[in-house]
Amino acid sequence: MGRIRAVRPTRQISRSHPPIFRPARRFLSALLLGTALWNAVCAAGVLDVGGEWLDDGGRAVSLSDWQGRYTVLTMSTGACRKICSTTLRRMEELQAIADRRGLGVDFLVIGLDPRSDTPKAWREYRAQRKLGRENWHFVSGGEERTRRVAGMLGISYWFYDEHLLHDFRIVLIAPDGTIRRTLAWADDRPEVLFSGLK
Amino acid sequence: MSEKPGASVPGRLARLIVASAATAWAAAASAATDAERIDALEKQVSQLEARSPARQDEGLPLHGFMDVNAGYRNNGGPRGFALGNLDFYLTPRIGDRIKGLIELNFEINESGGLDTDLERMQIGYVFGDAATVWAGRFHSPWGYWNTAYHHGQQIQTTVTRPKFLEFEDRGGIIPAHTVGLWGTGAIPAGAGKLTYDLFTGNSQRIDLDGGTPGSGTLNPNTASATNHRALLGFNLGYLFPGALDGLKVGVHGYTATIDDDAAPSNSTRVRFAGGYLVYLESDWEVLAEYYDFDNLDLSGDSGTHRSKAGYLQVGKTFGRWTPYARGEKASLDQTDAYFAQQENGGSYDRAVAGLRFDLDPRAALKLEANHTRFTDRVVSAYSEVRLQWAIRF
Repeated sequence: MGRIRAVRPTRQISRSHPPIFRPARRFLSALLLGTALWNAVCAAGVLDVGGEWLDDGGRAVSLSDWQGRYTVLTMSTGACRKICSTTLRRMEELQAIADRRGLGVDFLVIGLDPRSDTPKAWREYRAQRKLGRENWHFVSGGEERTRRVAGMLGISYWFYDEHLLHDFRIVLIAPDGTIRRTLAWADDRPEVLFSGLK
Repeated sequence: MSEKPGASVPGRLARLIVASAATAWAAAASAATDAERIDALEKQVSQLEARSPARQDEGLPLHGFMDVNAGYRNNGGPRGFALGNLDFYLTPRIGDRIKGLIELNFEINESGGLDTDLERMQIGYVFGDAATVWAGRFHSPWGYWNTAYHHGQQIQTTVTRPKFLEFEDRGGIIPAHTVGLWGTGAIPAGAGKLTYDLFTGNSQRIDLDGGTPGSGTLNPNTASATNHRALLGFNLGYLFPGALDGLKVGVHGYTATIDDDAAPSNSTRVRFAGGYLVYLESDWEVLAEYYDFDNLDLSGDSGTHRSKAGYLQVGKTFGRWTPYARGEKASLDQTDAYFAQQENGGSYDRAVAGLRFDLDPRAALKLEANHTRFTDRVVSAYSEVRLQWAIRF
C-alpha cells in the first residue's frame, strides 16, 4: 500500500486555493486515490494467488514466498516445443544479463498444464536443459489457480487437441509483488526488463 | 456526482474507479482524515470485489484459425490472392469424463465458391490418460502429421502439407477423415511413454466427377458405409525420455475396402503400413513419414499393387525465424484402380523450401517455394511460390 501514501494530498497546498476549487480538488485527489488503490489491488495479485503449489522437488510452496525479492516470472509447459523454447531462451538470456550486472533475481516458471507439468516432469526438464541453478524454480498448481495467474499476467491459453496453445509473456515482479515490467514477444532487447534495477 | 460520466464510460474498471472516487468524495466531504478516507476506499474496493457475481456458466470458448494467401505458379495455374481457411474450434465438456470436439471449417474452393465442412465432430469418454474413446468424425490417426496439425495452418510450420497427405477435398490420396470409433491413450513404458490409437469406421469411397475415369476424390462417407464395409487402423508410438526427449517414433497400419462410383464400380482392398519419426527439440523440427501400400483389386483380376510415399521435413528456429525444407516422393501404381481413379493419384516428387516469421505467438507469416514434378500419368512439372499469413484466436 506504499503507493497510496505517495499520492496523499497535502492540506497546506489546498489552503492556498480559493474555496470554489476545493470540491474539484478533493474530487481529483479522491479519483487518483481510487485509481491507485484499484491498480494496486489488481497488480499486486499475482503472488497473492493462494493455495498450495508444488515445486520441482515436490515441496509445497506459496507464490507469496517470492515476495520481497525481484523475480522474473513466466508461464510455460514442458511439452511445448515452440513458444516455450523461445521463452526459455529468453529466460536464459535474462539470467546472463542479471549475472553481468550483478543483480540478484529469482526465476520462476509456473506450469500451464498441471496434468503434465508434474514435479517429476519439471525435474527431468531441468536436468535435460541444464537448468540447475538454485535461483530457478518450476512450480505447478491446480487448474483454477493456474488460470487465475495466467489471467493476471494476460496469458491466454487453450488446447488444440494435444497442443497447448498459449501466449508469450515474461514479467519482472517487484519485491512488493507488483508487476514492474513486461517482456513481450516482439521485444528484441530483453535487458529492458531490468531497466532501472541496481 | 450524479451527473458524472460513470454511466457513459464503458467498462467495469471505469465504473469501479468512479465508484471508488465517489466513496472517497463522500469521505472527504465528511471532513475525515486521510487515513480514514483510505480505509473507506479499501473497504469499498473489497466490497466491490465481493459483490462480483459467483462464477457461472460463461458459455463455450470459441477458438480457431484463419489464413490468407497469395501465390504464383508458373504453369498457368493459380496466381494472385486467395482466402484460406476460417476454422472454428469448440470443445464442450460435460463433467470430467465426457467431452466433445467440433471443428467447423469454411474454405474457398478452386472456383471461388465457399465450402463448409464439419471437419471434425466427436464425442469422447475419458477413462484417464491411458484411454479415451471417441465416436464421430475425426482425423484418421495414421502417421504423424494428420493428427498433429489438423486444420490449423498457424501451428504447422509450413504453408503446405505434404501433397499426398492433403485433405480429401484438397487432393489427398489417403482418407484423412474417418467416421466411426477411435480409442487413444498414452501409457508409461520404461521412462518414456507408449502412445496408441485404434480406430474403425466406415470405409471411404471415391467419387468420380461425372463418372470420368481418373477424376475422383476421396469421400469420408460421413452418412453411412456405402459399401457396408468397415475400415480398421492402428498407430503405435513411443515418446523417448531423457536425452532423447522430443523424439517420437511409431508404426501405423490401415485397411479398408474402397469402391468408386464408376459403372461398373472398382473395388479395392486398400492396405498400407508405415512408420514415422519426429524430433521436436532444441529448436529443431524433423518430421519423416513413410507409407507402403499393398492394395488388392477386388473387382477385377489385376491382383495386388505396391506403391509407396513418404516425406522428410527439417526446420530450425532462430528467434522468430524458421527456415525449413521438405522433400516428398510418391510412387503410385497407375494400374491400381485406387490411385488411377483419383484425380491426384499420379506419382510425383516435390522439393519445398520456405521461411516462417512469427510476428506473434498467434500470428505467422510464411513464404514458401516448391518445385513439383509429375512422373507417370502426365509427365510435367511446375514451380510455385506461396505467401501465407496465418493466425489463431
